[in-house]
This record gives sequence, C-alpha cells and structure tokens, in this order.
Amino acid sequence: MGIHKQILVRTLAVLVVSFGLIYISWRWSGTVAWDAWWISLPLVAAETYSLGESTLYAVTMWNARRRPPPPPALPGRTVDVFIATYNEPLELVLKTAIAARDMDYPHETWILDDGNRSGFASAARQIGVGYITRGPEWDGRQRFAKAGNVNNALSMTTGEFVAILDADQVPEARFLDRVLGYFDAEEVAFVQTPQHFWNVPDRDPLGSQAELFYGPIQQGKDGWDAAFFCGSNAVLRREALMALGLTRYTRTATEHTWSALRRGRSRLQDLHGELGRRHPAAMPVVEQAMAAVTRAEQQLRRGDVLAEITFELRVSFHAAALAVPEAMEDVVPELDAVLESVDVAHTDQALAIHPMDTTTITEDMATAMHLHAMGWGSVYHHEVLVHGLAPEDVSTMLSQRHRWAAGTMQVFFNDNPLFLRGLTLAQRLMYLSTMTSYLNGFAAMSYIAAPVVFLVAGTYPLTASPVVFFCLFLPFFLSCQLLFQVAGNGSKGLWRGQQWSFALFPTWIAATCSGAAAVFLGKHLTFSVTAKSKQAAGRGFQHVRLQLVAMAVLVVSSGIGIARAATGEAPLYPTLITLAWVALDLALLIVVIGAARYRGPGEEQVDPMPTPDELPSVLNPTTLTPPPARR
Amino acid sequence: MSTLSRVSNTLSCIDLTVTGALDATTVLGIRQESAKAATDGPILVLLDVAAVTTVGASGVVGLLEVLHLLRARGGDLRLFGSSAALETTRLQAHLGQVTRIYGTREEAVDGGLGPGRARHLAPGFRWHRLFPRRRRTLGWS
Repeated sequence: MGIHKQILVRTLAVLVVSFGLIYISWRWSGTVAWDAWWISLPLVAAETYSLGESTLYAVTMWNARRRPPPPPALPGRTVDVFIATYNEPLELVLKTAIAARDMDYPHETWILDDGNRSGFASAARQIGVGYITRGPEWDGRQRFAKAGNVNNALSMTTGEFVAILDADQVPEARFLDRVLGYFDAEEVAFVQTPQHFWNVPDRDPLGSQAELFYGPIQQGKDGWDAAFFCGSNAVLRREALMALGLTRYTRTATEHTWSALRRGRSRLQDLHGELGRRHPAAMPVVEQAMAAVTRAEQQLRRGDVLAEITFELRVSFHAAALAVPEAMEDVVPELDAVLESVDVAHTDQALAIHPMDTTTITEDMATAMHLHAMGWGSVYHHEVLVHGLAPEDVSTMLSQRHRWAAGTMQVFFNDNPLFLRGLTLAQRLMYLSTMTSYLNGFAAMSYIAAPVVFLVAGTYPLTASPVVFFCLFLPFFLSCQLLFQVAGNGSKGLWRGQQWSFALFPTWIAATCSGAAAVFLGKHLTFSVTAKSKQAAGRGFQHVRLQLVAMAVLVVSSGIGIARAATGEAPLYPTLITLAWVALDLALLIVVIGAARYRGPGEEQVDPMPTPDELPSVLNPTTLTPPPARR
Repeated sequence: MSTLSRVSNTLSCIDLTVTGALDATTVLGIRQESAKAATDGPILVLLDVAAVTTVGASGVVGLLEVLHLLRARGGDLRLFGSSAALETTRLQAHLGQVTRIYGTREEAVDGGLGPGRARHLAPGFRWHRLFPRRRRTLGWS
C-alpha cells in the first residue's frame, strides 16, 4: 500500500472508531427505550457489535502489507504436493494431478484418496504420480476428515515442504517457484495464495470470489503476521507442522495418561462387579489389573517415563490374564480397551501424532492459529497461481458456508484466540475478527426485527430526536462505508460481500449454534465435502425461504407503516426513516433471489487451464499407453 | 486382534542404527523396517541413536509413530546410545517426557521392567509460576 493510501486508510480508521464511539455512547446513555427493552436492547447490542466489527476491520487495514516480488526459490528443496480428494470424479482429480505433476520446480505429487477408489490408484500410476490412501490402521478409528487424510500422508512422505491443493484447484506451472522463496526465512511456516474460481460469472451471484478476503483482508492480516492458511493453494513447512503436532502431543501426554488411567480403573471396577455375577473365577484377573493401574498411577506421580509406565502396565495385564486362561475370553477385550486408551503411543488412534489440527472441521484455521502461537510466521502471497471451481448452485454454496462458519465457531468456543498463549495482541484480534464475523446473523435479526416492530406496532426501538440521530449516526455510517471502499482497494464484489454477510443470517445463526453444540454438548460436526459440480436439487427458492420470509415481512410491515402514517396514526418522519431502513434491509437481502435462480456458469466462462492431452487416454483404459513411472 | 494376547515378557529383538540426521527420511526407513519385522509377531526394536548428528521435529514425530506401530502390535521401541545432538536439542524435553534414551543396549533390553527411576519430581505450587514470561519456540535448535 502506498504511503498516501495508508495515511488515508488510517485517518478513516480513526474516524470510524471515533464517530462510532460517540454514537454508541449516546445510544447507550440516553436512547434505550426501556419500556420496549425486548427490542431496544437487542438493537443497541447489535449496533455495539457492528461497531466492534468495524473497529476490527479498521485494525486489520491499519497495517495492510503489499509484499514485494518474492525471492527466487532456492534449488534443492524437497517438496511433496498433496491433492486431497474424497468423492470428486476421477477426471477432475486427474486434471489437477497432471497440472501439479507438471509444475516446474522439482517435486513429488501425491493423490490423497480418502475414498479409497481402485480406479484412482491405477490412474495415478499411469500419469506417474503417487497415490496414498488410508491403511487398515484407520479401520474403526476416528478419521478426522481432510485433516486425517493429510496427516496420514504426512506420515508417509518426507519432503521438507508440503503443498496442499483441493481436488478442483489446478495449479500453474510456476506455483512452487513463486512461493518457495519465502521459506528462506526460517520462521515462515506457510505461504498462502489466493483462491480464484474461473467458473464464476462477473456478477458473481453466489458471492464466491471473495476478492476482499483474498486481497485487502489477507494483506491486512499478513501485516500483523497473521495471514490465514485456508486449506488449499498453500505451501507449508513440514518441520513447523511436526513441531506443532509434537508440542501438542507432549503437552497433553501426562494429562492424557492420568485421565485414561482413571477411566480405565472405572471400567475395570464395572467389569469386576459384572464378573462377580457371571464368572467369579475371572475376578482375580481384574483385581490384579486394578493393582497394576494403581502402580501405574504411583509411577506417574513419581514422574516416571510414560512409555515405561504403559509398557509395564501392558506386561502386568498380560501376566494377570495368563494366570487364569479360562477367563481370557471374558476379560481380554476390556483389558485391551483400557490398555489402548492408556498407551502413550495412542494405540487407540491410527496415528500417534496429528500435525494438522483434528479438533475442528476448519483444521486449516486452527492449525495456522497454533503455529502462530508457537512463534512461527506466515506469508500471504497476493498472486493468483491456482484456478479452481466454486459451487455452482445455492444449496452447495450454503452448505459450504455453513461448514466454514460452524468450524470457525467451534474454534471460537473451544480454543478462543483471546486465551491462547503465545499469540500477539494483533494476532488475537485478527483471529477474533474472522470468528466474530459469523455472529452477524444475530445482529441481522435485530436489524430486520426493529423496523418491523415500529412500522406494525408503533413501538419505538429507541427514544431520540431524528435530527440528533442523523447527526450522530450518519458520520459513523458514512465513514465506515468510505473505509470499506478505500481499504477495499478496488476489489470487485464489495457490495456483494456486504449483501451476503447480511443475507446469510440464518446460516450464520445455525452455524454458531452448531459450533456451540459441538463444544458444549459434544454434538458431532459433519465435514461435508463441497460438491464440485452442479447439483440437481441445488437450485430454487426453497433453499432461501427464511430470507424470503424476512423480505415478505419487511414489505408487508412497510405497507402497514405507510397506512398508519397516512391516517395520522404514526408520526411521519420516524416512519420515513424506518422505511429507508427497510429499503436498505431489502437491498441487502435481495441477493438471495439471484442466487436461488442461478443456473450455473454459461459458455462464456472458460477454464484458463487447458485439459491435458493425456487425460482422455487415462480415462479410457482401452487406449492406454502408460508413461514411465516417476517414482 | 487383541494386542494384549500378543504381548510377551520376552520379546524377540532386532537392532537398528540411525546415523546422521534424525529426520523424516531416516525415520521413514526405520518405520518400514520395523513394520516388516513386526509382521510375524511382537518385536522389540532397539534403536542405536549414538551416531545421530542433527535432530528435527519430523524425526522425533517419526520415532513416536514407530513406537505407535510397534505398540499396536504388542511390541516396543527402545532408544539407546549417547548422542550429543539429542542431548542438547530442545526436543529432548519432549522426547524425555515420553520415552527414555538408555545408556546401553542392555539397559534398553531391560527397559520398562527394570526398577523405576524418577524422571523428575512434580514441581510444587508457586504463585510466580502463574505469570511466566512467554517463551516462544521458533522450531528446534
């Protein structure tokens, strides 16, 4: 950002915060309509929240960083390129894999097939790339969706750097050359590049391009050394990921062993009681096992080495079981389960260590946050080097946004950046601003309900003179919009972004509730893979019915309000102000109409990455001529 | 299959040695050899780390994955040998909490069944520990 632009942005940022503080102080101090607190308080709370969001946006833009061209990639780096797939069609995955294979910088390409499809294995062999799928050690274990898929691949590969691509993200040949140079700085853990979608028309009816995020916002976060890792189109340093996994593992190892021993004792006590009724001869086995657990707890208190404690426990259990051979069938399964949960090597899981965060369905953000908390750095490289596919129908888009939001709110409730040790204040704010943006659903509800209540029932959500209100509100509102536009730096889709931020209020509310339920009630959050093609039932107004209901309510209440003003039942100026408010709400919500009617990209959308010549022969085995293997 | 039914007080041993860098590449080799050795039953892998010259987080994670693999099959991994690189790295703090590096092969064979030795005493409560200076970890030295 040029110096003049930066001065302007900072000036606007100061104005936004100043005007906002004046306005919100006035609102809280003398305008809350306490006799209608049920609408007045949610409204003023929503406005306070919006001020908070504007302030966080101002902080983000304060330090926006436009990086100079990156240094050239040093030769001799070893790189693994991972293409993560679950249920995408072979043609799509192969196109990405061939483009990845053909990248200029020397590397190894791997298809990580979480769907374990045999056709993929042979196709990978034919095009000369590696193929990794989960082994039998994952059977019956938690799989952790994409994070588990990547962790599995990390445990089987050795490159110093790992590039991660979603199945539909086709890289340009220069991708690695453009980003590897940043890793000359040893503190850089990952480099993120933009996600750009070629199948989105200019009017972008589903709000897919996110030019504001993959531009000024990421640059702003980068300025505070808090660029986000977004799960694809990024390169990560293996040592950073492993250091993170190791630190998390050892930090919790003793605590994990303690709690597993406690749970194990409880299970053995239950088994002991059950055997008393069913098979008394087997009871000594469980008594010896409980004695072994007691010994293990003593050793743990003494600070003995965990691997020795758990190995000795295993040997003791084994000796106890052998002492009464006829009891084996009754006790061994339970003893096994106790041992697996206690073992320091986490034998109850497929891997001992999970470098990518597995506690949330937005593993990318959580992993980046913990890397930052460890002191690792990050880079946002603002250059489109990968071309992908965006959702082509409103249903898929909503499902994708819900997953992002629910996972993010899961991290917000479970691993809040305000309390995570190691982050700088600015990094905390950067993560907080993204997480709290999803609370906008509740604010939007207030902004829809308040004018309706006034127009229909004549209940004032605030008590103030319209003139004073305008004098205090307009400077705040206008400076916010100005900052948004100036800091947006010409990004397309700024208005579209505001529309979706407001219109997706049902999704944000549902996702916040899902995230909270996952953390506080232990409900499972599903990682739904974004469909890469148009879904038959994905279009239509039924997917946005809540927004349509809100629009209908706004229109009807406007009619009632006009009638009330015409008959003198309602005051004119407050009614006019409220109608303007309704118009703004409708202008924001109307985006869902175009989205519901969207039929996918037209012929004018052309894939910038040509289909590889060899693709048809790989897809059609009868014309197969396998190239020499690269591995 | 039950891992308990496969554990034994007298595990058969194989000896492996790691030389030079303890990193992702070397531990992948150790893992493959360990997996091969463990196909016929529980096995105790004795890994000589005396000749290790550099240590990376990938190497330590890889070792823990080898431990995981062997334990899941009723076996074990024991490290032995004196390595200045391993002793001076900050990773030792992580590794030492989980597993021990024995001085000699004989001690490693004896392993968890020998008399227990205190790793450290649990620290007493101190008010000043509630407000420690933040320590940042930029990788591993």
